[in-house]
Amino acid sequence: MTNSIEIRGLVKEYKDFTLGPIDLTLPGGAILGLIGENGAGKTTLMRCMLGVTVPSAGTVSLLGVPWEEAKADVGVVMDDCFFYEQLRPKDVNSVLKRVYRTWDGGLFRDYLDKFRLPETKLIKEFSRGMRMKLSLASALAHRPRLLLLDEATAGLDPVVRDEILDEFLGFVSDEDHGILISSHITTDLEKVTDYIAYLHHGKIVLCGEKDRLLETYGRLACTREDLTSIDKNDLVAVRRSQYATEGLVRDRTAFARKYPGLTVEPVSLDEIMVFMEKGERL
Amino acid sequence: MTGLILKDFLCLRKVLKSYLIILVIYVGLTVFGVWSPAFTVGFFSVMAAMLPFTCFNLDYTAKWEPYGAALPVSRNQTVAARYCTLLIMQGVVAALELVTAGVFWLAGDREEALSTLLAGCLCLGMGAVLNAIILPLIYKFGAERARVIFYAAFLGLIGLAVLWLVPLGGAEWLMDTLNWLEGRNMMGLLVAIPFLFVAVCFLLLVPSWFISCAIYRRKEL
Repeated sequence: MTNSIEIRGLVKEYKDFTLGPIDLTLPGGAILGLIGENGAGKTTLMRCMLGVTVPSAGTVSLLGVPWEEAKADVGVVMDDCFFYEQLRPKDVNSVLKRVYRTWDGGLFRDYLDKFRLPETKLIKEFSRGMRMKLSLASALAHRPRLLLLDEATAGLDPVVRDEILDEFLGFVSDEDHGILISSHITTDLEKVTDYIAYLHHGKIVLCGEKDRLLETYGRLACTREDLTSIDKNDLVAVRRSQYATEGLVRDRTAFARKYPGLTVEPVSLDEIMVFMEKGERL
Repeated sequence: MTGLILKDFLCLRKVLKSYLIILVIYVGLTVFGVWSPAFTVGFFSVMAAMLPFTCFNLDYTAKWEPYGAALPVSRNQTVAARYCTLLIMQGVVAALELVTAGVFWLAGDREEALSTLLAGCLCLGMGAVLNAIILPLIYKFGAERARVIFYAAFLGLIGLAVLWLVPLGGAEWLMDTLNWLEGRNMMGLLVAIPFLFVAVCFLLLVPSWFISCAIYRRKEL
């Protein structure tokens, strides 16, 4: 089975920020969630993968070939609707059918119907949710094998998000397909992703199967005195406040065996992110 | 690439409709003798030459460039599409000019036909030169900064032309040349000059396209 994404040693250098080196692999038939704080480099990574930004070093291979050759098989949704406000969905159909050889106008209209988007209404009259649905319909109508989605569910209400997430799950039911989705809405990622990569200050600090991450990582709630008795290597990060002390534990089962008197609870992706961003590394 | 050209025209639909209304008004005013046909055709040549600016501004507003770069279209093709949009618009204006001149010619007013043709050629050529200079600048600096640079360069060129014509004796040289041609019964050559001028101006778009491609290939979007 071909990997949907293979990134090796990718680096993008700016004056005040460096992304990478990034090594990332997404197997076919899977969804990878890319998380990280604002400015962590998620959009830069996506742009490097699409050739929008030229990397300083490294290689990007999509669907087993260099990214340039894979573009026709990649569907893209960016964090904002890229279509001109004076166009209508039917115009988008006319334009993109001349861009993608595999464009399926019937499928595009099916998605418009499914998402309840009027074909002849001006895009400027669309709500944000409608625009994102239009972007998604456009990304799917040329029957891509890989979807790259940058904040595709941002600003949408839960009902619309749920509809879109269902679409993603349907898309990866084919093991030849893959999705990379970056989002701040980690609850969405917890619902649909198979893998999670956490980008922090331009580096991937955490990457693995989502279920395994959520099963193994844990949140320790303890007192300051308890903390002094814990081996620093057993904690990833610690947060101290006036009222509580918390720690992020890498392997909660092993931790519970080693420290039976302390309570370790399951942790969400949100909490992992907060620990990584604001916690004190030991 | 045809998709990108179509996109430009679909986005310009509203602007082109307003141009059409202005065209009807101007033609009416020309028919009633308010101003000459040469002015009307010249005016529309300039309007057509300015449309690529509008295309770039629309791209910027819609944040199209990053998305466009992700499409299965090379950057050279993206640039070529914009130049084709310009050529199509200029072609339409040229056809209108030819029709207008033709109407006057058939009506027996050969002087008006020739002056319309001359004005049209001059403005078409200037439009091509304008775009040959401005398009690489837009790809390098963006539409707004390029506009400022262009106006500065344009005023500079006019300044140089005036300098050449008056204090440096360019006007005298032109008159001498005309007299020289007249003395040898070669004034017929002058008829070819406007067409030659347009051809040379449009040829400038070729190196301009190469420069734009070189800039856009390396551009961070």
